[in-house]
Amino acid sequence: MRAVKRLRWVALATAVGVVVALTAGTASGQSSANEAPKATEVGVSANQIRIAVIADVNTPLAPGLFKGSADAVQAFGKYINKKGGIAKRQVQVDFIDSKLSPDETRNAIIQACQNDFAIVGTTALFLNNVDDMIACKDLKGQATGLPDIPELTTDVSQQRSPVSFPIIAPTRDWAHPTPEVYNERVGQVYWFKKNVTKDLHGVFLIPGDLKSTQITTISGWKAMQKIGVGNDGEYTISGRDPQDKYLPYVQTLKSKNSTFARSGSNDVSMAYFRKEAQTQGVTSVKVWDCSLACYSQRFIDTAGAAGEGQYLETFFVPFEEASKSPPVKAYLSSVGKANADGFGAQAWIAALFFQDVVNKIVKAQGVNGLTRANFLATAKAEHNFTAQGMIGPTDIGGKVPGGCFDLLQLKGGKWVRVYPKKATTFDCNKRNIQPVQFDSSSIG
Amino acid sequence: MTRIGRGRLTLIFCVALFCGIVLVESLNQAAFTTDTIIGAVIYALTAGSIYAIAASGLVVTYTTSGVFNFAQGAIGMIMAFLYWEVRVNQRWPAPIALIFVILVAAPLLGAVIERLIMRKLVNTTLVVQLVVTIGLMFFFMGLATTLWDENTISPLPEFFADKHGIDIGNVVLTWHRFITIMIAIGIALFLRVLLYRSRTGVAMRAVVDNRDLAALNGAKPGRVSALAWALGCSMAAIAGILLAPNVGLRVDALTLFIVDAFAAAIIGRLRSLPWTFAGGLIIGVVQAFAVNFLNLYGRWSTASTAIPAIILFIALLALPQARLELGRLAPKYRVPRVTSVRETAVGMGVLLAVIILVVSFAGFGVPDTRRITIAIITSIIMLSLIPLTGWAGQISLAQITFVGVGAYAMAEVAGNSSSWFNPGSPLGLVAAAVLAVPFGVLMALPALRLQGLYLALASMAFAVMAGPLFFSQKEVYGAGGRRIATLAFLGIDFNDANNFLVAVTVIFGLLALFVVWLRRSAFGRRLIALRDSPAASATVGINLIVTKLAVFALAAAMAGFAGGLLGMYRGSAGEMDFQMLVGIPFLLLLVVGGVSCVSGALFGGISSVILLIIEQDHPGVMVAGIAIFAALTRVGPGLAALGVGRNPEGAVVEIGQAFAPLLPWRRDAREHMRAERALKRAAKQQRALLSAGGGATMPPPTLPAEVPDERVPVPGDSP
Repeated sequence: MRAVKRLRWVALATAVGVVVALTAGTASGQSSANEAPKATEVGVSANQIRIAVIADVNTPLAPGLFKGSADAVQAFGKYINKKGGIAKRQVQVDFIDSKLSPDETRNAIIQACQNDFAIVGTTALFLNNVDDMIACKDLKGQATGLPDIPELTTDVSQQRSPVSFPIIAPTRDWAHPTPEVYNERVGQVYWFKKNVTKDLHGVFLIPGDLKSTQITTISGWKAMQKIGVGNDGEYTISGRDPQDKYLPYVQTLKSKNSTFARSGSNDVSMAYFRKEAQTQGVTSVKVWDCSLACYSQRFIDTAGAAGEGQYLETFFVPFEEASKSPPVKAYLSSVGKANADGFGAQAWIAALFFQDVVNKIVKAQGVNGLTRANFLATAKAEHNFTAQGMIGPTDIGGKVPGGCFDLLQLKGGKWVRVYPKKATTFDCNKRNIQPVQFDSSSIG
Repeated sequence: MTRIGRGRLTLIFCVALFCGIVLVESLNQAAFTTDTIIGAVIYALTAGSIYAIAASGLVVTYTTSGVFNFAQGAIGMIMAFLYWEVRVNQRWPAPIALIFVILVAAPLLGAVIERLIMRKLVNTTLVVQLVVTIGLMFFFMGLATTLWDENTISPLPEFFADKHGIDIGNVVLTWHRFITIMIAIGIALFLRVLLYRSRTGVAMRAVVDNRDLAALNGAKPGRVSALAWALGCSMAAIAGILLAPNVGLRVDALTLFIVDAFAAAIIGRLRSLPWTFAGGLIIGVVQAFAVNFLNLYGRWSTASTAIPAIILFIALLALPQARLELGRLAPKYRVPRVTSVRETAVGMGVLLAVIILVVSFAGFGVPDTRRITIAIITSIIMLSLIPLTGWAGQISLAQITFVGVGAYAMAEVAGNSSSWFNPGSPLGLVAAAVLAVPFGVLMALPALRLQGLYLALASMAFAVMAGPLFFSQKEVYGAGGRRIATLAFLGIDFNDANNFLVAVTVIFGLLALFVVWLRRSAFGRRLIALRDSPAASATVGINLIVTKLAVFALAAAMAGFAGGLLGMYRGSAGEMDFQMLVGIPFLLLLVVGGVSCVSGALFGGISSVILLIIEQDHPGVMVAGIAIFAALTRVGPGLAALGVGRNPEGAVVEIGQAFAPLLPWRRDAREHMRAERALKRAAKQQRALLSAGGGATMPPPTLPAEVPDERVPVPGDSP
């Protein structure tokens, strides 16, 4: 009897506890939803969130280099404001031009630290010093760091920075300092071997102007070789090289009946490679492979008819499928089709990541939970980001290279999806990421 | 064998040994097949032809006007863009577009350049001539960037691109390449006939040999010179148009490709057209060899970009030096007086006070404070050029290389916690200066033999080679660059931008005082003597070799020191930060300000940042649909440098001369101003007398001698 009584009391106490907890939770949720926004952080006022996009744009050396990135983030600001903003606030985008200059890049970070909540879609080639970013102080004067969602990280310091969450994670696996391990994306090679030819062997062109780009492209090439692409020749080229200089590489293709060819340099380089091959009558190559760099009108214009059949892999839904992908459609309609490019698309994805993280903070802590510390913690916990379906599931918080890709081919001057067949889908097989050891010091 | 001869041979041997090592390491024996050899020959002939065409234009203009046209590549580039505009954008038929660009626009541009700019440079110093033509190059590069968007511009098609070329073995020679080779041969024959079988050619050669004598015999040097410039620009246009389909319509790539042709012109000793053509082919052959038969990998993977510079360097060292057809300094302008150390100290005190006031009360943000800081650091780099170029007359386009060496030394010695000393230790700055000295001496070795233009070209080659051969090495900057901590001294927080600015200003002031003291010392006077007359200097017992070595070492040390500061300012340094083109505006803006005075350096440093701020903050200012400030950091120095032809002393000297009489303690300036006025009045009276038919033989009025005072007036410093 006494035991039954005790059980009753326990049940009653539990029920009361549950009711109290539920009531308190609801009240808290209601207060979060209803609370008035206030200034909570540098760049976050009661009615505005300021973010910065730092990109190399107005530079005489390469005019308009990353204009697509700057345009995309600015367009995102307008787009999201039309939809009511984020966290009950309007988004103001400050474009800071880093001008392909180390001085201006550092100035840009300092400026963003003082005025902006975060930097989004960063594309600055000379961003090789993240000290100011890491030491950036928040509203309370604590060195919390300036949240950074770059689309491009060329320097190790930014790749390893605790406040940076690149959209395309670096391939270097920092968990294995020595020997160096690189997790390279090779998914398309499996498809080529299965659907084009098993006998893949060919020529790879390494961009030789910068040692850092050499390392990333050579490790990628080694990973391809590891899964069965034969090496007929690898050559170091310059981005400035004229088409004439591609003659010897084309001769190698010809003499070795190569079935595979890829330039790790820019779109113009690939176009010259194709044109010279066409001039010299190369017919053996079954797979002309290229990175996202070739996803440009300049490639199509420069290569002309010689570019037909070109393969390229993207990690986001291609623009051609905008009608079936709301985020791609939003991007294209915001920047205009003529201004859309691969860099812009990645910057848009970075902006979507920013939006996603902010929304999660608001959901968990209310509109006034928006601090840099909370942002960094929430971003770090984001392991399955899809940019509303614009990319495959990606572990941005863990900085793990994503293996998702789709494959396009140039047919009749237009990019056409060849794999996976279904629009807006990706191949995210785990084997698409191939670890490979490579001693970067071997290239000097 | 003379000491210089031994030094030259040693240097040639060292360069040859280095090239040999790279060759042995990279030679790919398997590549030698019939097809690859045919391919190499085709590439060598095509590229060599373009180099030859561009270099011939250079030689024609140089031999007739005595001005080496650094802007040849930029003229070819802008003519290629103009051809694209009329051919592709306006859809003119190819023959009409070609006639318009090559036979109308390019010659007209050449004639205008000659008439408005180059004719005024005949009797100016080499520094002024070089700065004006380099300025012209920057102006055209900036103009092309402003007018055309190279990212969206459609490509220029090859000639007869849709036709199958000529089969040679298994290799196809395209019609475009065939036409390129044929045009080069045609131009060679045309120039031969023009120069040796026509009256115009004879007149051109006569003007080369002796301008005044040719004029006495009825030739018109001005017209001949204009014709030569028109011809030179047409050749640049041909080279640009032939090159553009191959390289793409890219401003830097097109310009620098033709700049590579300088080596061909030097092989032709700036006089011989047959040897210039041979030089073009030599560059083509070497490049073809490297592309076809070398597998440059690892340490030397970026070396191929330096090949034309290496050829230029070797050609300058190995070939017998031709007589330089350069105008001597014509003392048309007033000799500036030398500033005293006391006056400079006052000036620097004022500068420091202004900076402290700005830091304390102007309320600038950190980015603005940092921009002032970079202006001062840039001024320190320019300061390093004053003894070398301003006083000794030795032209260096490689100062940026010494800056890079200094930044590297700073990173190595006191850059981070694993360095030799504590991060940010001032000893790092000392190391930066010290390590730059051997590099300065290395650069001085060609200077022992070369002078003037040849030295400038050698320094340019040196700067181009430093990037791919030195800075990109893993032991220096490698792939990841180097971290550099900011200054740590006396417990002051130099991470605070204001403190760092004040420190940099103090350093600038001290270095400026040192420079002025140096100018007033015996060493400074030796440098002036070296510039004015090396032969006379040697006659009075000045050791030219020691003096040249010393001034190069000094300039390198100062630039290295500035490099250390620059590294601290940036927090890092990398292989791309110290390219030749980055450093050229330093020389341009220094000469615009005044190459021989410290205030000229300050003017140059501040100007560079002002241009950057305008370009940065007003990129969208449109005039007639053109963003006029889009490339201001190129157009600005370029335009300013063009003005140097009119005012070789520099803006600061000009301003100083205008304001000096207002200073209470400058009695000498007031007396000189009065004398100048009297002179003008006398000249006016004389003209009036002549026009009234009066005395025709009145002696011309002369300027009274400088007012003597304790400051001996010697050329080379501020008023």
